Amino acid sequence: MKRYLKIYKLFFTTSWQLFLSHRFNFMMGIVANILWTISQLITIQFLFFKVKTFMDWSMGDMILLLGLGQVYVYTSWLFFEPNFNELFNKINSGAFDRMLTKPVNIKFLATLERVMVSQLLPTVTTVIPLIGYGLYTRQYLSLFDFGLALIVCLLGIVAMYLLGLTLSGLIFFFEDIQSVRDLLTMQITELSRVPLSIFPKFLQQILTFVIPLAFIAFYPVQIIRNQAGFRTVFLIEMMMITIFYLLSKITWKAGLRRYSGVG
Amino acid sequence: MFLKSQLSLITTYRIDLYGRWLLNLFAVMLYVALWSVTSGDVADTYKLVAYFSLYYGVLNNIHSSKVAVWIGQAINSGELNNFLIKPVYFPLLQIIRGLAAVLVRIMVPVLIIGLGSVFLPQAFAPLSPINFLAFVFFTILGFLIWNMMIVSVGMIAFLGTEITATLTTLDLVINLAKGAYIPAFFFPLVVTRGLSYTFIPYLASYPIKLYQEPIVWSEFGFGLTIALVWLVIFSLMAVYSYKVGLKRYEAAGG
Amino acid sequence: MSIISVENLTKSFKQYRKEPGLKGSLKSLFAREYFDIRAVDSICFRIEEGEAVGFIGPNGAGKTTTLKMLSGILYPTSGEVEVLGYLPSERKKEFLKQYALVMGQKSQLWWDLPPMEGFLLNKEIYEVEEKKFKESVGYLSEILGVEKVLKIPLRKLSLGQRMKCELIAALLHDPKILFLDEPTIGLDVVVQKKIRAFLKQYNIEKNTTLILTSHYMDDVQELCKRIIVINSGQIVYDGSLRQLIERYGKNKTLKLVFNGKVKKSDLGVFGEVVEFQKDGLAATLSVPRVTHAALAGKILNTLPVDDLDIAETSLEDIIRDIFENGR
Repeated sequence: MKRYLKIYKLFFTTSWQLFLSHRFNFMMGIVANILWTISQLITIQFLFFKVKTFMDWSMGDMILLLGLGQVYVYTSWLFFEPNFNELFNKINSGAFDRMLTKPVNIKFLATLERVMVSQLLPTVTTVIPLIGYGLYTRQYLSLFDFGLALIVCLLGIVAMYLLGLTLSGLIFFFEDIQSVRDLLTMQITELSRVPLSIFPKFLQQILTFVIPLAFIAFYPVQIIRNQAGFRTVFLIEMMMITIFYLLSKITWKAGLRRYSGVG
Repeated sequence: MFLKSQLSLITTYRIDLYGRWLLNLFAVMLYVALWSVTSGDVADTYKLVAYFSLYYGVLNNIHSSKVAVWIGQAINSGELNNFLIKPVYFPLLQIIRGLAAVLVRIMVPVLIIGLGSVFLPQAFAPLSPINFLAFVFFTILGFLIWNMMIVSVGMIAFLGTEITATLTTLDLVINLAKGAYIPAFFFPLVVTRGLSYTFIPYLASYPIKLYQEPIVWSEFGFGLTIALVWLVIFSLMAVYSYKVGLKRYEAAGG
Repeated sequence: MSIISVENLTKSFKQYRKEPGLKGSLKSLFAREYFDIRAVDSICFRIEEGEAVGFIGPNGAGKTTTLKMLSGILYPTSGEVEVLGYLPSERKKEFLKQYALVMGQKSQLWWDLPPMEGFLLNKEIYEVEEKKFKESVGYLSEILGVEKVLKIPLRKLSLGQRMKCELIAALLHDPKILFLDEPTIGLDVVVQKKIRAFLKQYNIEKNTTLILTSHYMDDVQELCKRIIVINSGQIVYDGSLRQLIERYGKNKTLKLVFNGKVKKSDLGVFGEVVEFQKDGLAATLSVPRVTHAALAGKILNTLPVDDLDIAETSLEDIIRDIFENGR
């Protein structure tokens, strides 16, 4: 464990150095993050010009939902999304071959090597104000409930990481599974910005039991709103985490057996 | 021939295409579900279905930033050298490459909308054949405007800069105004009027309006004029930035 | 016990066919025709500790595939392979710490950062002690002449310098086996020579087993006493370089310089005239190996020879002959 922490610390420092050598691109990335958040806030504001409450959700609740959803977005882009995105290129360029020769868990190396340090700033400048505002608008707020909601949110991020890991194991079977990953990280993640109750029942089930998107933001907010019990949500989450952990082991093991390299 | 070879290349990655089509479907589902809560009746919901199906199924796929990414990559890696020694116009070749991607990506959505027009005409069918033709005309015009603009952005790579984040920022700024998150027919009048002098509505929201609503010919004339002016501006920018960029080009070595 | 043991090792890959044209492209979207390619076909060999073995073969022969199976990157389709007492495909940590893989033109170091950053990461990954790390970096960088570039971003270094840093990164943890996949590709002759000299010295000093694939015969001749020739996934020859030349090099080359004009027809009786200078003052003959000494004596007695050089058929010619004629 200590060894892996040391290695991860080196990943962080080298990523920081890479960040400093591509400052313009990263700064533009921060601008992009801020602009995206503003566009979402405008969308929510527009929505509430048309309706007073959105299926008994207030604007504050919607902003809280957006903020918690952004916790996932920025955390995932900080720690593992860039690596998932690059995996296909690494395999094609032969860099993945080199990773396989290292005495380190390949999943750790392939999915956590690059740390997108530029995401640290948006986390502070956008997520905290969004969550802060959302909580501020609540008439009653329990810090204990907020703590439980954060636990659910963070475990949801772990579940999504493991799902992403499972899907990335399929890259050894399908030449380009990138779009399915984009589906997961971009389009489906956008679904986390709206209350799940607006979707048909079958889609709600999918977004809870198949793709654990509901745990990123929806259930945490429901816990704060006293609309969902922590215990049940936590148990389902742990079950999902266990299932995805096992599935990721299977897909990677089978995938590496099948791996043919380049050339 | 180049278009054919690019079509061949794109169809090599099947899962990528299947995934993209699913991506479009999820986007449509999300925004229809979101905005139908605010709408009163079934007719409004059908209007939203048509709007977002056309937006994410067809128009969003047409306005891809890949052309700029390819231009940037070719300049930064030195691959541009391979084009400079041939009797071809590099930016045009990238646009054709982009066209190949567009044709394949919109294949299935167009089929679904076509079938929808037959089985669910109240949602998917254009108002009339003239409306359909007007929609196609402005879609092609929008494709040209977008590509001329995006080629100019790609030429920033001649300055030695990575352009990915610039493109993402540009996309975000334009998407909101294009009507990606909020249907353009919900925009306040002052916003619609202001945007009508830019190129943005002619990329997506105006073609969709032509598809769904009766054509106001004075508005059509105005829109056509503005769109053509922007097309000329972006075309000149693309040609000029390429010419200037080539003089700066350092042809990265090995 | 052999450090590497391979029995009936086979590797097949699944490929698909795609018909050209638009129709073929659309068809391949929904249905594809797959077929198997046997990249490595039932090969057997053993390698002892400290040996330097060269793998030679044309492109697509199976050299790199074999190397990748030995290093655990690829799973064999069938057969047995054991390296350092481990099954490479299990990729156990203890096994991975005992070898290194160097691939020509594919660096494990970060493009935008100095090589030292990559060394530090390898230090942690391979759990090299601080003292040992400093000693190794100091020693290797001095021998390879790159002490001054370790803190310069990799993209600013020449190809030769990058390759040297790549070697340092690979050797920091004192591997028992060094797999080298075309290590000198793209390098100029001076750097190639330096790297070969370094590897030879390293092999002798540390008794590290070297497994080398290369298209440059000089690499093989200078570094390897034993070579394995692979063609179409099968081993065509496995033995010493000396024996290969003797077995397949049926002829020897006589390079002659004359101090008086000689006719081409005068030379034809002794052997095949490979080269003939127009002024008749120099020529090259190819003669049978078994009779080359006697023929050389006859030429010296018969013709006005100023200088005579007897050489082996070049390794390139022998290998080319093997590949082209499938011997």
